Amino acid sequence: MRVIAAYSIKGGVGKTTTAVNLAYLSAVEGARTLVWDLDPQGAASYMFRVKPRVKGGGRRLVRGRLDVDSLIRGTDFDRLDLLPADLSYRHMDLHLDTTKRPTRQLARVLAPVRDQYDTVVLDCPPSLSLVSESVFEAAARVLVPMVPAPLPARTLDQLQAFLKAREMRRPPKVMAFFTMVDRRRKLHREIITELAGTRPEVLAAEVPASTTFEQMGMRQAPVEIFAPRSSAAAAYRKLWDEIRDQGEF
Amino acid sequence: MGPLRYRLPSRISTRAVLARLGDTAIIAAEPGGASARQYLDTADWRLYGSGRTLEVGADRWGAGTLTLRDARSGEVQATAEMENAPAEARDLPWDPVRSVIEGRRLLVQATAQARLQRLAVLNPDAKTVARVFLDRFVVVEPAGGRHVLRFVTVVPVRGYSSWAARITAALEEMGLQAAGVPLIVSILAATGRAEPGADRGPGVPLEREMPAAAAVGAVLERLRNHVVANEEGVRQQLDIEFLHDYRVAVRRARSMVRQAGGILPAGQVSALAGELGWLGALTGPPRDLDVHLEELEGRTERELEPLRAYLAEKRQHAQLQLLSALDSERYKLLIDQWQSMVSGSPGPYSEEAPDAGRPAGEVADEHVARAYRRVLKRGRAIHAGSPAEALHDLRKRAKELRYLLECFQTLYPDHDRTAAVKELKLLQENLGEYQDCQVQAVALQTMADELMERRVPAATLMALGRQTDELERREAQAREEFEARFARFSSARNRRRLESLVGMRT
Ligand SMILES: Nc1ncnc2c1ncn2[C@@H]1O[C@H](COP(=O)(O)OP(=O)(O)O)[C@@H](O)[C@H]1O
Ligand SMILES: [Mg+2]
Repeated sequence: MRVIAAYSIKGGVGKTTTAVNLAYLSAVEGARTLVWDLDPQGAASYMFRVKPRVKGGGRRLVRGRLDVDSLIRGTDFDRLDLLPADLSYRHMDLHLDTTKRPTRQLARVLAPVRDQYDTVVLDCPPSLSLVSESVFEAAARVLVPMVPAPLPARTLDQLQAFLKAREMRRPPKVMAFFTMVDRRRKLHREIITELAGTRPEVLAAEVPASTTFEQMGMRQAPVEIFAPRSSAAAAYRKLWDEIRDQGEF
Repeated sequence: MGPLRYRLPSRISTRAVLARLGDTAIIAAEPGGASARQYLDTADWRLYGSGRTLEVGADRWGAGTLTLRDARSGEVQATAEMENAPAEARDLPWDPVRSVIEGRRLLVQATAQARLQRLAVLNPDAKTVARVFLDRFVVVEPAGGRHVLRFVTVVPVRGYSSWAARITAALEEMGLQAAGVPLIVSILAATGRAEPGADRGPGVPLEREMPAAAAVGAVLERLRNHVVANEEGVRQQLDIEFLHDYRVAVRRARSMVRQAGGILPAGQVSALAGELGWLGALTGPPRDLDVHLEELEGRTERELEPLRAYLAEKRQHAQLQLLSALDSERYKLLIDQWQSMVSGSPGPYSEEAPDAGRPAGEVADEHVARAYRRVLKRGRAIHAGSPAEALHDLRKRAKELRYLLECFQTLYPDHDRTAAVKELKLLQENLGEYQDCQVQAVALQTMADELMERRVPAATLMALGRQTDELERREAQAREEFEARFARFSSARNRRRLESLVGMRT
């Protein structure tokens, strides 16, 4: 079971968009795939038309009091399942804090289904907190979408410093990529060139700014479903290929 | 809850099913398709035996997809795109499946035209909460007959099983019944074929009360079917197991016929036994060569190349001899004669076959007991100074006993028979090892002599020499172990097992 997190300190940068589209590609390839919607907003759950509610309470799930098996929902797509969000995730930090080893907790919740899935995609809420720490413990890859904005290295530095301070036994590999890119804008091109030259964790694949992604909300489906020939779909295929080309995890 | 497949009888139309589903939930059509499907498996149904089916589907445009399914549930385990239909294990991209198939050839076991209609069951959020497949298969017989099979399959979506339950309840109310058997079994049954693997082995269903001649006839018929079924694979050398299975069936039949004195008419028995001996002897050399060649497989030492070439050449020669035998009038007569022995029952009693009409169970008991006594007697006579022939002879007698127990297996309770056979098996292994090593050592010596004349490199001859040494070591070890094995076989305890099986003292 390979676990990959779509993560950023910031909101609105394309985490959910990334989680949904990559999970779909993983499933299409034949991997049994699970998306865990960790964001109380439930955007990923909504994309898959699943009610953002954990029966028995997200708090009890996170604290290991509920069996994850019965909470998983099949999506409309073969081999792609979802563990829905729950409103109580707003206080997940507090819930984790009352467990014995808070940072191990998310991995522990997934343990019972480890043989059922080949890929698990975590759709994370924006923060740098106990939840994030637990995400970093559970995931082997942390995928960070970045919009081309001034001082792009800042968020990456922050994340790397945070990971370093944790002194984890097996820290996840950070992979960053640019999204909402408008190649016609000089500023975008400059920011990307500068960061790509200095930071090895930045991937070559980039996702263009495209209205196709905005349609995902209305269509409630990955772009591959309603716009398979769009540049938007092609960009995520390229991203997924590059992630896997960097080695099994 | 897994997928549930229902048979759709001809009296219920697809439209009626659709109407009923529409009354039960919101239904949306999904892309379906039509394809020509070939079901692939080895001659001995290894994939099916491991709980899988493999199909090659070609759509309208001829693009091929390989689909591996769970045989029971029909769930897809893996798919792959391919240009050519796979013929052997290495053509498949899945390791676990490869190791099931091993060296066997993949054959087209059945073909069907499939038309699939996929439906999604939607909840008020327009989310898919179950799927329904309406599948129609047209199975075409080689002779041209067409059989139509229709199924409705309900596939639950995880976390929404109550929806699937609603759908299945509606279907059951319509009178649909669960298919109960894997799809491939239904497809085979449509053309009158048995469940995969059901007719493997010599164990035909027998009753203790049936006439002995009928029981022996049924066994011989099964063995004849094996011979006929494997013949094409033997001719084409599809893989080496065809010849092996062919040979085993011939030898079992010969053993059966030879022991059928009193059950089948004596004249027929001795004639057929002689012909089966001829056929068995013909299959010996090619089989031995297959084994030699297989042992060389995967070995890359250069000095073995001349040996490999030599063996391949001999194998080719043996194949030609075998083919000319299979094409001969004599062979055709043998198969016919075999058939008449199967179908023509000699009647309840005749001078020639006094046991023909007696109950099969009783007669089988006597034969098994007699064969057992023979093994005991020959085995006891063997001592440290006995010649090799004495052990070879014992091996034959042990084999006869084993064949009897196998062919009449359904007359005995499984558990008792397994217990009675256990020590016999171990003894046979020992005798087999002893003789095989000896025979192989002699064969190697012959090879070495012939290769010497061809001026092969010294390294090749030395490799042969090393093999001979190894064979002699194993042979000596087997000889040493014999005494202990036989002691266990002939122990009072093991004797009691056999006596209780056949219900008489030995
Ligand atoms: N490459 C893109 N181009 C244009 N809009 C995008 C792109 N990626 C995401 N969006 C839009 O941006 C908004 C935020 O994206 P989302 O994936 O929900 O971010 P996050 O999960 O990080 O909050 C959504 O409305 C989404 O449709
Ligand atoms: Mg989000």
